[in-house]
This record gives sequence, C-alpha cells and structure tokens, in this order.
Amino acid sequence: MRTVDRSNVALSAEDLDVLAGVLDTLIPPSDDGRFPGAGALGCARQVAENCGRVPGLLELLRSGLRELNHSSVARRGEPFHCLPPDAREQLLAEQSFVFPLVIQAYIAYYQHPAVLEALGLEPRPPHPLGYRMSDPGKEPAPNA
Amino acid sequence: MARDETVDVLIVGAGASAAALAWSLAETKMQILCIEQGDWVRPQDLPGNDLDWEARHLTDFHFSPNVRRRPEDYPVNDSASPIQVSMFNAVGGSTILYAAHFPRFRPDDFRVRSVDGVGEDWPVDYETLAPFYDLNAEMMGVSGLPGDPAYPPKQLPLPPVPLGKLGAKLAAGFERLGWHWWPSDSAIITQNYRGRAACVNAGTCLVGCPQGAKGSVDVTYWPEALRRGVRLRTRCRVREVTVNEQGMASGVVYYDAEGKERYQPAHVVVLACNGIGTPRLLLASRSKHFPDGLANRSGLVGKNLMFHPYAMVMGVFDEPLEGYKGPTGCCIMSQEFYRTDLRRGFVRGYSFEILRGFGPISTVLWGMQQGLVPWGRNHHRAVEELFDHVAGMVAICEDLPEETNCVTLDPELRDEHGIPAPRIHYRLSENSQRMLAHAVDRAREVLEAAGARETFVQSPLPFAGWHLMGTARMGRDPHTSVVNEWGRCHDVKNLFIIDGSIFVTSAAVNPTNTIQALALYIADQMKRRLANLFD
Repeated sequence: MRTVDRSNVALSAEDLDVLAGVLDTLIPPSDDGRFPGAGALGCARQVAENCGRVPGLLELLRSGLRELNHSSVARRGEPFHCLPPDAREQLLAEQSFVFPLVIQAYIAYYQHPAVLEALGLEPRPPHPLGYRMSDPGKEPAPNA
Repeated sequence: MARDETVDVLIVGAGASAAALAWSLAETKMQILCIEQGDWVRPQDLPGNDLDWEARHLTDFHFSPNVRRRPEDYPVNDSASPIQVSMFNAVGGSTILYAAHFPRFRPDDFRVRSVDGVGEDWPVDYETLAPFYDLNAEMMGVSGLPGDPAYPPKQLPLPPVPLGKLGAKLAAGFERLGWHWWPSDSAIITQNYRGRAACVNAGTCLVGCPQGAKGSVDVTYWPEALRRGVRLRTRCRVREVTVNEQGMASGVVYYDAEGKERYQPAHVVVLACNGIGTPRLLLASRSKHFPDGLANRSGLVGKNLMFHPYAMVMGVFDEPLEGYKGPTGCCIMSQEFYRTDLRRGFVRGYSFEILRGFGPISTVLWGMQQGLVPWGRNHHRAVEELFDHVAGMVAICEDLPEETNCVTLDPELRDEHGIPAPRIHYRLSENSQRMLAHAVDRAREVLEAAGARETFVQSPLPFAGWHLMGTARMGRDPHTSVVNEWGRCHDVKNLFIIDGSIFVTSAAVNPTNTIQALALYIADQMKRRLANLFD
C-alpha cells in the first residue's frame, strides 16, 4: 500500500487517488493542453508530504478526503475521482479543507518543470545560470 | 561550568555590524572572539539552487523565526503587533535574507529634532559617518549611480544594477509625474569584485544568494576578518552577560553546540544581536548591580522600538515585464516624499523602493490573496494574466520613537534553553497611519502613470519587521540614552552595543548601511581610545 505518514497520520492508496482527483479539480488541465492537471502531473504525493509538515493539516486532509469520497458515493454513486469535472467542482466547493489544501497544491504545482515550461520559463532552478535581462531600449535618465 | 580562556574582545552575534567591527578591530592584534547562535550557511544549501526555492521561503527560509523554527532560532512573541519581527540567525545574520537595498541616511536624518521638532537628534552626524559609509561601500561592494542630488556627493565602487524592462517601465511613471527617482544603491556586485562573481540576475535574493554576489557579510567582511585572526564560534547561544564586583562586564554564559553551559570571560563585551536580541539579552542579564537589566539605569533598554511601517502597492500591467529576473529588492527608488510637508498631515516622510516581480508560486499565492486567482476551470487564464505582469513598490515610512513601543521579556514563552523570549509591544502611531495612507495613494498614482490597469494594496505589510531599531539608543545624556556617542554603555564602561538598537531615529531608508557605518565608526573610536577605553 502506498502511504504518506507524518505525525502518525497516513494517507492510504485510496486517499491518494481521491487527492489526485481533488488536485485535478483545483488545477485542471488547461483547455489548450499546455498546462497539465495537478493530479495527472503527480503532485498528490508531494502535496501530502507538504501537508505533513504543517501541524494538523494532514489529519484535516485525510478526514476531508474521506468525507468527500463518502459524500460522492452517497450522492452520485461513484468515487470522487471518477466523477466528471463539473460534478467534482460542485462537490469540492462545499468542503472546508479546500483553502489550506489549495495553497499546498499551488506550491507543489508551480515548481514542477512541466509547469515552468508551460509558463515560458526554463525548467531549471534560478542558480547557477541566472537570467539574461533584456535591454529595455533607451533607459530614462534619473529624475532629480 | 566549563570556563574558556579569556579574550580581549568578545562579540555576541555575527551579523552585519559584528562582521564590520571585528574586521576593523582585527588590525589591533587583540584576541577577538565572536560567538553566534546560528551556523555558516553553505552556498550549495541555499534554496536558489533548487526548483522548490520559492516554497522554502515559506518554510525554513521564512523571514519570521516563529514560522521558520530552526534550531538556532528563538521565538518572538509579536502576536500583539501589526508588524511581525523578521530576522535570520546565522553567520551573516539577516544579511543572508535581506534585499541588499543599501541607501545611506541623509544628513537631515541625524537632526530630526532640530529640523522637525520630533524625535531626538543623534550625537553623531552625517559628516562624521561619511568616511565609514565610503569604507563600507568598498568592503560590501556597493553598486549605484553617483550624482543623486538628495545626497552629498559620494563615490560607489560599481555601476548600478540594471533597470530591466520593469525598472524602465516604472521609471517612466515617475517621469510622467515629475517625481524624483534614482537607481538604487545596492550591496550587490554588478561586476566581478574582490574575488566575488557578479550578479547573474537570478532573483532569489530574499532566500540567499548562492552566487555570492549579494553582499551578505559571510562573503564580505567575515572571510577578511578571519584571515586577520578573528575567531568565530558558531551554534553558541548566550544566556547572559555577567558583571564583576565593580559592575563591569566580565564575560558571558552561553550554551555551546552540544547544549553544554560554558563561561567565556572577556575584557570587552560587544553586543551585536539586533534591535530585539540585544535588549532581550540585556534585560535577561540581571544582577545585584543591575536589578532591572544590564546597562538599564536609564530604564530605556527595550524602549523606543522602531520598525519601518511598510505599504506594498502592486500593479498589473498588460505587457510582460521580466520581473522574475534581476535583484529582487533593488531597482530604483524615489525620495519625492521624504521631507516633512505638514500639508500632507504628518511629519517626516517615506521612500519608495521599486520591487521586481514575483516568481510563479509567489504570483499565484499573491493573486489568490487578492481574489484574482480562483481554483477550478478559470485558474490558468487568471494565472497567465498575472504571471510576469505584476510590478510595484514598497513605501518605507519613517517610524518615530515612542517609549510605549518596546521589547520586554515574555513571562511564559522561552527558547529551547529556557531563556525568556522577547515580547513585542507595538502600535502604529497616528502619524505612521497617515503617512502609509498618503504613500498608498501616491504609489497608485505612479503605477497608473506607468500604465498599470489595476493596483492592489497591503498596508501595513505584516511580515515586514526587518528593521529593528532604537531599543538601546545612543546619546550624550545617561538619563535619556543607553550608550554614548561612540557605542559604549553609559552604565558599563567595557560594554558596547553596535547593532540597530543604538539608532536614535529610523530615517525612511533601509538601515544596514548605517548600522555598518556606525559599527566601523565605533571600532575606530575604540582603536583611538585603546589606552583609556574605560575612562
């Protein structure tokens, strides 16, 4: 079983599947296909690890994911990650754990090389190469 | 308790002021030891080498020790303050994370009482410090453009940092309004300099500079001080400064890297622990001679705490600005609203410092905070409209000294060694609130003049307590100051303070250059007075 365990709280394989579905709902693939969905990109494990570093957050996430999936099965007859995007978005909007989770989702997603490339950046850390700055043309003279 | 060998000069803290003073005093060949609670930060361990560099600014390289919670950090109870304390504990101190925006104080900043009838005048003036500003510029490697009429003539060793598209765009806004602007003096080397490699515009200044181009003192003063024979002992946390029967400082009790309690005797003790750490240590050092805390007969230790209240105003522009490139906090600055104009409804004034843009994570989190970035189907469109399209500035406001703004010892909160944590009592004055409001309006005006289609404000900026000043201020009168005009405590003639604690007023510019110029000046005074230092 795949698990992420910090502070005696573990996410099961099923939790991670639901989490991937949640991430694909928070950050879905872009219409033009340039940006992948956060779940499909494989951010779930890192999000879970990051949540494990914030006191109480992984526990909140685990209970939130289980409640969400339970609600999905009860109301729609399918696990959350199997629902169509509109239905996932609607269900997720009712959940209180979304706010702290979305911060962790953004942090994991926007450091991924594929996302940096989609943003037009080189998929590498800033150092050691740094960046060449464009010449802005004629620079204004300082104003005294 | 284990007792170390007596040294001539013991410096507590290894940040901006300590490094400068240690380097300067080293030529005397005295035995100089510096002890620091943090450790060296290796360039290869800095976040800028990895893709998660922005994420680490939110965790182990956060400005706040309360968020960072590294073993070398101590907690600060700033829960009742609108501005949270920011600092870093390491060899290099907060210069590891600072932006290296490096202006000098202006001559009038040392004569606030005479000029505007508020605060106090300093017992030193610009002319006295000018040679030490010059020396510091050489040692730190300061880049800038001479000729700013806001200052007396000054020489800087390196040409200014590039404006880039972003800087040129905002400068045009100032031009349209006819307001003062000038390329920032920056402790960032724009060319190879004294064995250090030039800035590569990586934009990671606020989580440290693996290139070593940013002038943090671990790469400027410390290597030269160590070559001159100064010793530096890391991961040692001082618990108290001890005094002898004559009421003179005799050394410090500290916890070494293994947590063992030790005693380090010294003939001279120098405190360089910043405007929070220094009063904390003095107040924790009680004895029969000093029941209210060491060197505190004036009752002013910990009082008159000054931050610089900051407002951050950002604009969203239609065109890409390449804002993720270049020195994060160094671009251009404006002192259009620096001097008192009572028609504005407040005394003294503020500077604008133009910021570069944000990296991807910072853009998205900032956008979320402003309500601009939703999750779900519209997420990508919102992010693409923001990323590399955001630029703006901070207004750095002069804070005036008030005794009610202070540092005390928390009755409950303690660090891991049981030393009481500092507690911050701070409120924004009416004057500061009016100044912030004025600055926000003017910042919006200049951003719109530069072409911003929307502007967004954070005022006061919460995690902006970078500048910690005034809590052991200097002066000639022992009843109204803690140290004299050359940094020696009035009450303890072999105890010196050299960090931002000794500031009398705050000016409206970043303080590090002035902290270091003062440290070099104090070192110079000590050298000149060695024969009768304690008279």
